[in-house]
Amino acid sequence: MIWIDMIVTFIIAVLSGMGMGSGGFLVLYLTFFRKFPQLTAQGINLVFFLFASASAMTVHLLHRKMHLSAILLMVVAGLPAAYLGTRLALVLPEALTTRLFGIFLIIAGLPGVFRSTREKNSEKT
Amino acid sequence: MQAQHFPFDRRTGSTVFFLLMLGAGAGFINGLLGAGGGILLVYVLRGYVNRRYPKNSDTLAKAHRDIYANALAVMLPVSVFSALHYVLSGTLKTASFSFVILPSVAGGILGGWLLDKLKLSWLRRLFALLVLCSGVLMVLRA
Repeated sequence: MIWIDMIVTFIIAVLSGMGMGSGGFLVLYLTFFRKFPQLTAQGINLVFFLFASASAMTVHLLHRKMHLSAILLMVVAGLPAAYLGTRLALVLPEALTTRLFGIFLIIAGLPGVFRSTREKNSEKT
Repeated sequence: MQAQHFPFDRRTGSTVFFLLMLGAGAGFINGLLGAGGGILLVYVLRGYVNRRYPKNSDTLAKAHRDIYANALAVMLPVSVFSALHYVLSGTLKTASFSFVILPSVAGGILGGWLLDKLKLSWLRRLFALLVLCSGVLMVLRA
């Protein structure tokens, strides 16, 4: 079973390294197939992201333009906000957190699908 | 005007406020849901650069790829912070996440290398579909 977990994690890490994020797939896999509690799955996902993104960054730093001042501003605001989010996650019911996660992903995914369809159609004309 | 791939060199008050709010939003979502902060960053920043560069231009394509890398750079320290909080609160034990370390390192390196090798349109389509499917499954499951 651990081998399946590692293969799934590897595939999701490839997507994450390409900058697409895990898409919530690791959380979904851990809660749906491996029956982990939602908060534990979220925590594992965070650790996964740390290692996947740190590794991907070693490649990106060689090829991509990094805007350090913009990054710094977003991080400075992101850290206290992350603390608040984590505190809230620890007190909310698990079912609500799962539903919120799913709704967020639907909101995030829909524009991309329709935009891609529009671009595909405009290429045909 | 010389084109920049990621046009935040002019530090106006509105730009600073925009980046702070964006970072706060991404950080809050990341802490609350354990994921999703990067998605927010990518979508918002992509909309921002789409209004500034000609469609289908090489500059726009490079800006999109830069966004992915910069979003990772923002979410890395934010995720460290959130993960530490999960561990210190007792929600997450070391034994439960040790299996992700090796495959995530290997996959992350491969993904970083692939970013320049794949067509951008396929990247966007794949990303959007993955995110949408994940969302639907999670709402149905809850």
